[in-house]
Amino acid sequence: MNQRTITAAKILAALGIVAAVAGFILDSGHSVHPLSRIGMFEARAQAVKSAKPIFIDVSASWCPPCRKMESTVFTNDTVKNYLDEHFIINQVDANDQTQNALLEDSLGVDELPTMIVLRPDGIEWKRHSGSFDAKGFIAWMNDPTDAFMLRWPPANAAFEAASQRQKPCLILWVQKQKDLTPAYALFRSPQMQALCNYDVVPTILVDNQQHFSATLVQLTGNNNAIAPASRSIVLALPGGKLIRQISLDGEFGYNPNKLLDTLHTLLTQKAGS
Amino acid sequence: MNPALKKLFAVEMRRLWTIPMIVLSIVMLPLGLPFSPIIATLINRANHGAVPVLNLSESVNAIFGALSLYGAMFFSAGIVGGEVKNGWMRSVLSRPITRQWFLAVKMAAVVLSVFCTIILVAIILLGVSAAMMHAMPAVHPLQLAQILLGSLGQIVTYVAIATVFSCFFPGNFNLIALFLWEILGGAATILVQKFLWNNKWMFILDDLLFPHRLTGFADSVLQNNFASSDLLWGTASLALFLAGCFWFVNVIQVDKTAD
Repeated sequence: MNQRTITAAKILAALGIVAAVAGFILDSGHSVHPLSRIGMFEARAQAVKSAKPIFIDVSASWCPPCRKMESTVFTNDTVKNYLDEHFIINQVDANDQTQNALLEDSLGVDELPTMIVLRPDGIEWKRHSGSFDAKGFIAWMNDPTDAFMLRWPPANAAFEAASQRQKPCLILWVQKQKDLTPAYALFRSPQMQALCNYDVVPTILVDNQQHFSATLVQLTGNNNAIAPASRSIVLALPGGKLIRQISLDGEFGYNPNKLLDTLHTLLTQKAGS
Repeated sequence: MNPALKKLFAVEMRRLWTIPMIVLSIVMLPLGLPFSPIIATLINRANHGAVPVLNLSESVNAIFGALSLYGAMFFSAGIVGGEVKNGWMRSVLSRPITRQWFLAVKMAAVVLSVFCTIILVAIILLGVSAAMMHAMPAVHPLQLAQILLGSLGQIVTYVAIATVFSCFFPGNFNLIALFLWEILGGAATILVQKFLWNNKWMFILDDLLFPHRLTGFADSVLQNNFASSDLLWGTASLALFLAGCFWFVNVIQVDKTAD
């Protein structure tokens, strides 16, 4: 064996190990993230106060795609300004052992990096697992339907507003979080957005039937039974005068035109009466 | 530099730049086309109606990102295994040249060839783009230098991996091995991210075995960052694969000729 070649291999291996150890130390000591770490409690409090949605980034210093996102996306000025302007930001460090329960149980994270958008009332709006480049991230965040629906007030605020404005409250009610995403498609059309902006006060509730019925009775004073459905649109008038439930499970499915026609008919009837 | 090594380097360059290699280099040009500013700008224009911008650093980074692996694959095919098979390695080692210098010179010739070919492709594409767009590219020398450094490091890493494989596989089979290694790396990365996402040691192992951190470093430079972690992990992986090259080239049987 050529001793010099062996020595060259050993020197290179030593250099590699030194670089790896330096990288490991750098990653372990890495605590400065471009996004703020305010904690979930504080984030929720700020979101309620400012009526802004929450953006959560779950990442770890030792995860290469997370580091790539950190160095190429979250330091991008356009992204930073957009997030600062529209969201309450909370970065969750997966390296932090105290956060494990939050990550796995509450947020249901099973991949890094994961980005989650919560409505101001805490309902999960959307999530993405895996990395983005800056353009892809902005395209994902800047969905026009999101911008429209994220402004919908929480249920109690919506009922108050409906009561003041004497308009029906349109509740998009789903029993499970996963049923929300397909329901968004119903609200993409300009006609539906105009209806939501001018004719009703829209809101979203994610709750099981029992809780939802109880909430509805509490908010409207109406004890009409809510039919079993995994996802519905409920039109409720404060004072309990009108409750109409349109189930999205059956004939309506997710047909935006049919839903729009039905809502127009109901609202015309209500105006007539 | 030792005159024998200089001569060996010149010979290696001549042996690398055969007619098929020149043809292959020309074929690399259309491969880089989708990343050239012409296409990117046309797409950008179609999507947003925006004013075309010729970003030199971004284009160079994209072209290197697209072509580095293919360049390294083709130029380092049979870098050791092929030379053992055709008897060239035995012939060189019978002169006062050690295995370490033989390997170093061969790798230097391959890396230089890949790097220069991609630079040439980039110059042609950018030149055509600038002429068509009637725009001068905006040059940020420091940023460009850092991107070229990261890209060069990634090319050396690919060549080192190909060389390690070439110590085990006969002839040009290291080309296929490197390609499969990259596919395996992609699958392993998805697996780690999906199922072992809270195990940092698996991330580190994935990073060292299937290295792309120097490309990540170049990407971060584009965003005006200096991702020192990427640079360190990329260097670690590069040094370990280079160590593997020098170790394995020392233990292979040079006399194992085809005949």
